[in-house]
Amino acid sequence: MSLQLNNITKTYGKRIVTEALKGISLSVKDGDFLGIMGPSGSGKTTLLNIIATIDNPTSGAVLVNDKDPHAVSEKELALFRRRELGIVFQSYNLLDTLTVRENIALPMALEKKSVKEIDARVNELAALLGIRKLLDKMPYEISGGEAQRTAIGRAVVNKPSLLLADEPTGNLDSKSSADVMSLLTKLNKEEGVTTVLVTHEAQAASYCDRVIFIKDGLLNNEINKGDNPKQFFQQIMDVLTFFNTSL
Amino acid sequence: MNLFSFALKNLKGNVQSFKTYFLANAFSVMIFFVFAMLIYHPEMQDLDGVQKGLKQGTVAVEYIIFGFLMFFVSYSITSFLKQRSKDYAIVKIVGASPKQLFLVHFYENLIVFIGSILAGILLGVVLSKFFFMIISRMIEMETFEVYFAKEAFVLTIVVFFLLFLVLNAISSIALLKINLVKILQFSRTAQKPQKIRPFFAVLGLLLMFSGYYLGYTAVKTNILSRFLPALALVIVGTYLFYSQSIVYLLFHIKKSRWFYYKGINLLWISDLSYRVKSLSWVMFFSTIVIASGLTAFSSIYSLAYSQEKKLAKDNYYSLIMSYSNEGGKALFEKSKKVLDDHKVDYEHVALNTLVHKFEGNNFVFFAKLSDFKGQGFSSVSNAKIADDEVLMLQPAAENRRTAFRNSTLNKQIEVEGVQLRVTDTVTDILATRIAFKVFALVSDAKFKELASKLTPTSVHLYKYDNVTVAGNELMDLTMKHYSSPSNVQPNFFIAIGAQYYYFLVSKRYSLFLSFLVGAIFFISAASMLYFNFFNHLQVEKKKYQNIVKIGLSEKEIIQSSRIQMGILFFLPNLFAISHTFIAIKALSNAMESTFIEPVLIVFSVMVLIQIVYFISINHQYNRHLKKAIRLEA
Repeated sequence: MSLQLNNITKTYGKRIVTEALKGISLSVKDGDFLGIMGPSGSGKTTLLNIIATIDNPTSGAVLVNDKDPHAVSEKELALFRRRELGIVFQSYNLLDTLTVRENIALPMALEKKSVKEIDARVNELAALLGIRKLLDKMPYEISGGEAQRTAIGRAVVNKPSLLLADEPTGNLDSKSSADVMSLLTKLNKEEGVTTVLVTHEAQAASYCDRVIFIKDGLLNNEINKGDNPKQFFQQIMDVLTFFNTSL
Repeated sequence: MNLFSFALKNLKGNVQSFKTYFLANAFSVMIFFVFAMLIYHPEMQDLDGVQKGLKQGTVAVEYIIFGFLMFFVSYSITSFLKQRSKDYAIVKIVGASPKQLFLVHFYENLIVFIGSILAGILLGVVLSKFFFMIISRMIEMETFEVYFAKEAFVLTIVVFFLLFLVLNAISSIALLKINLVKILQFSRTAQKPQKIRPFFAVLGLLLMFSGYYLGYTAVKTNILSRFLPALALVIVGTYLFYSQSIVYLLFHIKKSRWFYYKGINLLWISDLSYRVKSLSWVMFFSTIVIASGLTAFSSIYSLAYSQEKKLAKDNYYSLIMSYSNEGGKALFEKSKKVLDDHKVDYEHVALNTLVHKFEGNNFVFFAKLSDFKGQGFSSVSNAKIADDEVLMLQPAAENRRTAFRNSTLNKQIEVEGVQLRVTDTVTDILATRIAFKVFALVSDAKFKELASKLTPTSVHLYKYDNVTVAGNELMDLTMKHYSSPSNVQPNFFIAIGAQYYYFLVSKRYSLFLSFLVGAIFFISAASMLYFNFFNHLQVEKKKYQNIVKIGLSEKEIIQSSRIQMGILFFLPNLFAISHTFIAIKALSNAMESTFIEPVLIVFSVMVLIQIVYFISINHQYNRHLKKAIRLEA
């Protein structure tokens, strides 16, 4: 799986034009774990939404495996999201009416997979996510961290080629945040899920292999993890401090 | 900015949410107002005869409408409050005192109510011409002109204003109870699934079906004692069905995972099992209301239908009269003129008879056997009787025939000291058709002897095919005849055409009234479901906006919402129809006739209307959903 962004721009409004993205080019290779950081209003969520095909770019092209998902019909787009993409939201977005098990199973049920297949996959994921005992609980009965792990399960149940996470730790305490980030890392390393993470937390970003920084709709900086995680975290902090003082 | 203009601004900004509330109220006002106009119409005041019942009927319907609208309006007022509760919560949180909050709520409702009273009356005025035209047609009066009675305006305004004050007070109490935490909680809603109670779930079905059984197998002799228990069983059963059995059923469907885990089934089944909890009352109420309206309409329709058939079956002659005085003779000439004026092609039988009154108010008409032989009836053509013998003709109508059999008439008759022995009773259908009363045939000599002791009476019988011709004129003659004290029995004037006319007018009018009541019930029930759907729309929008991101297509979303809405919409209708079917079945058992044909007509019309209504509501709903999804996507 490869993701290629070519000079993406996004403008809102007709009379008063706001430029959210002013031309961003980026390439993500198979198995990458990319973090996108930036201050609020920098355009990082807009960028993620464009990758997720939830939003359309004003100009420029998104290529997933050399194909532009924005160019296909509404129906194919739904299939693309369902099969190729997994999305994790800050607010989990679990369905209140479904149990944890059913929430995870939903994308597979939509694909009309057999109950046997669904059960096997859900049980496998539940073990990996550490939520085996919660499978028959309703969303209101579990904690935020557990809900987010469930949401991750739902995102990866169809074995997507690209996992997108939008501030997945934004609503969580530090312990749960660490759990969720380790999980995403584990999925990336062990299952080879290419992951793009949007966050404003340095701690979360430090789990990535590579972090890009966006400011005022433009690519501002890029840091690679290399071999020294501690140094990587420090570098992220430095860039963030630079952002704050330069405001 | 004072509170009143704040309330006005609130409404302006919330047109979407108060539109349905406003329309529901305006519709209620319109119906009430139109009936008030009818009640206070000058023509209605001087109705007499058959049509006298119309006013009583209309007044009764107005009461029913009022009682029902009270229920309906209070439902819409609370559902409006629910829609607005978030706004009220925000007003509260920024520091509005309870009094201020109360005033904002009061002003908002006041504006909507005054607006909807005016709109309803205006709509009533605009539609009144059309409405009165239908009424005139129904009761066959050319003169039912549109008339705007002052009292109708006053009554409508006063009644709805009082209703507003009462309901506003009630909803204000609900307003004070607004739970800020619950409403302003933007995170996950802690909605608990309903408990499964297998006992009640099964009990609901059991009660409903035993009620059905009682109704279905009821017969003439036990219908009265069965009516109330059956009704109670069905009502309680229906409630338990919606509150328990459905949940239980869905629980079991969920267990069939091969079905549950198939595409959008997962979505709508789980959604439905959550929503039925809050909807059980609305669905229960809709079912009962639709069933009542439908039963009222179908039973009146069926009764009228069977009475018409019976009238045609029981009567061979369309106009029967007997008279022994000048007044009666004048009437005979008048009615003959009516028939001639309408160029009616009739067979006429004239008989000279003698009337004998016995045992209170029973009459025997003596006629010559020779006269009857002249009519060519095979059953009497060979009959021979001695001078002291009499040949009886059984009356045609079933109930009179039974009375005849139970009387002493089949043995002997004594008239003013003359003893007559009954030799035979003619039951031949053709011959007995002549006998609107008991006819006794005697020899010419005996007839002559009796003539000096009994009043001579002329009998005229007309047979013509199109009995409805000149029905209203014959009705007038009938009314005049029976209102004159000199025309006491045995001066009979029986015009089947007039009876048809009577049935026609009262049938049409009661059909019309029951149709209106049924329509009101039906529209209100559907509107309640409608309110509920649209109250739920915000939640649904948010849910689908999220779900579309994980790869649900628009088509699948629409499909899932349509299935769900279809079930919630048609289930009450389905049960209403089956309840009505049982009620009509019980009625036809009691009446010892079948009403299948008219009931099928009513049901198919109703189903057709429902489908159209559903399609239009669903279309609107889906448009909102699509808009929400596309905005996000």
